[in-house]
Amino acid sequence: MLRLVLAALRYRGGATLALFLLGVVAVAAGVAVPLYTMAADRFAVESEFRHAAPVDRSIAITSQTPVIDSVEYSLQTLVTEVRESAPQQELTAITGILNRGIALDSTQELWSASPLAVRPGACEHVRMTGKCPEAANEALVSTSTLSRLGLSGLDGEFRYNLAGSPEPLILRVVGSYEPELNTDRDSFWAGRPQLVPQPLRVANPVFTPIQTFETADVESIYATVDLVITGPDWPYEQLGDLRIDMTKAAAENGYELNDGLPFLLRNIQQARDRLRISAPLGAVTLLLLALAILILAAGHLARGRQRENALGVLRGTLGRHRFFLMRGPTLVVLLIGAPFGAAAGWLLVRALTLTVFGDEGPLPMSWQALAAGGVVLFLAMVGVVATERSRRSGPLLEALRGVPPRQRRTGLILDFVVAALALAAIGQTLFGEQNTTSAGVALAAPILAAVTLGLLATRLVRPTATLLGGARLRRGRLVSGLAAIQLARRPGAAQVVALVVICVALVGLTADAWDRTAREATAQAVAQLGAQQVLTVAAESRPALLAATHKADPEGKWAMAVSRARLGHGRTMIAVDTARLGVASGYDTAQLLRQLHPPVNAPIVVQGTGLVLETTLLEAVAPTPVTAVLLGPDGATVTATALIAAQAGDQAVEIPVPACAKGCRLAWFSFERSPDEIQLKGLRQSGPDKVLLTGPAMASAARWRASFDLASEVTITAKDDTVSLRYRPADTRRISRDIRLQVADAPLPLPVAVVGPRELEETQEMSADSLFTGVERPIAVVRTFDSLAGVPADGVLVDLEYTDRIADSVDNAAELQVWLGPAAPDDAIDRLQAAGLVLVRADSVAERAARGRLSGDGLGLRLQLIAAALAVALALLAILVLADTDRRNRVAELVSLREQGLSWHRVRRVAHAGYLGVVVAALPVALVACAVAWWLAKAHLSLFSVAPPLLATALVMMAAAWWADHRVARAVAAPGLTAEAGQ
Amino acid sequence: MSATLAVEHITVGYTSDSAVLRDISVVARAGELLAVTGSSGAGKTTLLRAMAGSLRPSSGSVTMDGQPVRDRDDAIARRIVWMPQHNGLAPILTAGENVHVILVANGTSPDDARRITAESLESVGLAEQAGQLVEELSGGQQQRAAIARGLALRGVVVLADEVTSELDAVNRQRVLDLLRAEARRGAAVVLATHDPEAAAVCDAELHLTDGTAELVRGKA
Ligand SMILES: Nc1ncnc2c1ncn2[C@@H]1O[C@H](COP(=O)(O)OP(=O)(O)OP(=O)(O)O)[C@@H](O)[C@H]1O
Ligand SMILES: [Mg+2]
Repeated sequence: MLRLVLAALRYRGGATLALFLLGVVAVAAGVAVPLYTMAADRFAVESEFRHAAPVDRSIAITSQTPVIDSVEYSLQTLVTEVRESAPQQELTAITGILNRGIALDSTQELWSASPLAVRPGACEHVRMTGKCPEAANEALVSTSTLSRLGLSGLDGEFRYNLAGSPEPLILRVVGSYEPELNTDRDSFWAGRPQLVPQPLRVANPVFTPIQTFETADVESIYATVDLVITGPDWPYEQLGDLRIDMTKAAAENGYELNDGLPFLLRNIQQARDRLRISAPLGAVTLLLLALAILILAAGHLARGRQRENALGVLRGTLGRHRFFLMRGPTLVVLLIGAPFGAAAGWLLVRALTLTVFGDEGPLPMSWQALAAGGVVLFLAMVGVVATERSRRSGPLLEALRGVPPRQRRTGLILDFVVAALALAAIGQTLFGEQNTTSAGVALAAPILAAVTLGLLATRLVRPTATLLGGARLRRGRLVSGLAAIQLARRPGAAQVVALVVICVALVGLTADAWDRTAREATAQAVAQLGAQQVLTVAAESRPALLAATHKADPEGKWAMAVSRARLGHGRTMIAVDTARLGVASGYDTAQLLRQLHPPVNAPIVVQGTGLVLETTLLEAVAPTPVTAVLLGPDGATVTATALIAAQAGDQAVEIPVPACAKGCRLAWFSFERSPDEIQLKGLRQSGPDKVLLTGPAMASAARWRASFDLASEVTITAKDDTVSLRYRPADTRRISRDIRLQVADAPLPLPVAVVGPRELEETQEMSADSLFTGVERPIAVVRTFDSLAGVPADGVLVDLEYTDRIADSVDNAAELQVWLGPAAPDDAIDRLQAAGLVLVRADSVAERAARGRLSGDGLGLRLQLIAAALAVALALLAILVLADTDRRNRVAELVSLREQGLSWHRVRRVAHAGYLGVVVAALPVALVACAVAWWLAKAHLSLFSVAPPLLATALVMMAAAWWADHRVARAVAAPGLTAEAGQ
Repeated sequence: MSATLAVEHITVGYTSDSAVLRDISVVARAGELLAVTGSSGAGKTTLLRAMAGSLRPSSGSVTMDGQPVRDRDDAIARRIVWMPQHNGLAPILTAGENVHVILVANGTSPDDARRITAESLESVGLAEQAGQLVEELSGGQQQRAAIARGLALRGVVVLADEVTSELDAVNRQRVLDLLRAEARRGAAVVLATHDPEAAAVCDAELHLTDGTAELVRGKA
């Protein structure tokens, strides 16, 4: 029996090989789809994870913990507690202390609001000079803090006022550090703005070992436990539960919880969803095509065998044997091909993951993939058996004579089903909701339409070509007539037409979708980045950033300072140099400037070497230090302190500010205690002398405000040409030593523009926000957008200068950026660096777009691309199989025509017009199908991107057809027909 | 337009080392019917193919009016019509198209071809079936279509190979009558058959056995 099967296989070698290949490709497609989808899913997750900000990858827990036995013990207790609700191994817990406080130089005039931090391992995450602190009161200090404190080199000492501790610490500098440049991407810091060391930042943390706290005699510490997800292989399904547990634990134990996990989770979910929608489409297209072609080819092979089978019936061969004779060969070929197919599918995905994802990790063969391969194999075998049965069931005599069966009703039903599906899909596209812009989904209707047109062509091609061919023959045009008749009556010709139509349309659609995805990725990249190029930079302060961009680009043509900060409730704020919004496209800068940057009190600018505060003391008290905080011309913070002498009466207090000769903006005065008995009468500068504020201007209530964190505890009284302030702490356990008289030179509430519905302008929904940091400040929505550059979905746009003025801080913890417009010169980065900025990272639209193309639709589309390429390959194979099974008949036919007198050159032309004629005839139909599909897909059609693949497809198909025809012609060509040809 | 097809001492086979027919001589004369008989496999078809120019003898010659028949193309040009054993019809064409195409291919104008096609199909009783595909015809109808095609060509020599094998008595007689008419028109007709009755109506009979030939009837 096996011998019989093998003999049958050998008998039609070429066709068998092609069938084998088709089987391999079909199974490969079946295996590759789940494998690729899984690999793509993993890649999407990994990519989201890799690009997530550290804050989005961690849960930062802060807890004010009483020190009971030892600091160490308190920390341990906290960690154990936290671990109870977050036991996952994938979470690394980084435990430490982060206490606020102020570092002061020996004169106590120079200070920095650097927190004091204990963080084991910190030394490995900064660039350190000197040694890592190990003993109590040793400190590792950032170079910018050191230079602010006027400390040069190591071994210096400074004072540290720990918030909540009466006794200052004396810390010894054993090492200095510079932040790593990518420090804002380092998950070690868990995205804690206070903790992340940044270049040029004065308030960088001071690191010290835990012993400092052990010996410091503190009652409580701010303990930190940061749970960091270290790798992308995290069971994201657990995140929801974890957050619920943590939130509960936080509420019970009084932790402060801070995490961006929802952002990460949302991004991963979105990426996965888009992949899930777009990936299967290409896969299903491919699978269906592979199966259809396989079954088609098998059907033709079976037709080739139906004579043998019929003879078998005549000779009384056992039904069982005939079964094997008929289906055995095909089934054996498919079975043998299956493992090769599985291997090929794996190889294909391996090649893709290597080239597309650059992923060299292992690619295990999953059981889903094998199962999918198995299902495809099973479907193929069932399909083959079914077609062969239908081939076999015709009358015996017809089988003997090789009569092809007439059109069957099942075929018509299939057409009907596909057409109905197509109509439904088209209806959905044309009239359905337009909420999905996914290129992947948008392809479904066009593909179905193309398939329908392909099938329709199959139905129409026969009658049309018959009519045409008959007419040509009657007029004596033998070659064209016979060519048309071949198209009409050659078995499989109609299917080839359908294949060509479907393949060309598929290629055309995919090319367009590819092009579109690229364009969408670019548009999305522009929207996400905000400008052609976005530099992440470090600067001493936000005003320093503003000053530096103005210095590098004085005319405001190409550079805009931007500061980004994550707000509560999932929004992201970008504070921009509003006048330069033209750098990002699509803004009416003038109007926005009016809205976000309305005129307000002029800032108080000191352009001298001293600041003189005219005061009146109502009664004698202890000498009171007053500190002025100003911002220098290049954004550097200038602070200076003077003592208000103890005696009652008028007194001019001169605060020396030599750094302000070129002009400083006064930010605030700060008192260590409530200056109840001090009245402020006027403000002057010295060197040169000039009155800054006096009389009613000084005593205007609108000129001053309290800092926001003490807004309810500080009362400012302005009357009788004097200003005074009084501080009454609400909670005597928390007494501030930074009681400020802030200059009011920004609009309050702060005008903001937001992404959201118009109603936001009327409602009070958004009326306060903490903005850069701290307690809430009043804001007012003055403008709404559908999308904002740089923060397309959830943005809040504010004016950088004003927002900074109400930040009540000179720290620069927020992310600082410079947006470069299209007019940016080549040396833009150099110019900005020369202006004092430190470049951390540069992102360009091109890079971001490339990344975008590797996510969601882009990943799915790659499968579609492969589907299109494989569909073409399969169609080629199918053409070759059809041609191969049909060749014997064609040769015999042409030989007998020749024997009857049809001249050789005519016979040759008829031979060459065989499948080539079919393909060429199909091409115009294919173009029509393509056009319809494009129309349905709302294609943009850049000729440059769709024409080459279409042309290539047409050419390879024509080449395959030509080759098949050429073999026929060669077989007929035996000169003079002196011997039997075609056998 | 009368001609004589002469086969002189031909040895012919399909491979160079073995011959199917050895040293065969026979003459087909204009106006006469020559029957070639013999058991199955005796070489009737082989002889007709050699006469049709489709098989080159390894020795001896096939000549028409003294000129050797070089190959099938030459034979066609000299109007040696051949009705092959299994019809040689193109299955993708209808019966009418099969006749029409070959007529046009042999130089008949399309208009004449149309008329002649209709007439010849009529003559074999296939007027109704002209538009049917070959594969939709019965075996006998296919045979008659092939005969119609051969007759339509009005050959100088007509080689008919087993053209009556699938026909009923009435149709067989009709075909034999048509071949006789061809002879009367002046053609030299050769009929390969193993049907003794068909052979009997011929003017001469060449009997093939074991690769050799014997003229059992008619003049040499
Ligand atoms: N194409 C071929 N190649 C090789 N040998 C052939 C070929 N055709 C015929 N033969 C051999 O030549 C011999 C004569 O065959 P031929 O077809 O001439 O017989 P025939 O008398 O026409 O038989 P039938 O009455 O069955 O038609 C046979 O032995 C056959 O095997
Ligand atoms: Mg024979």
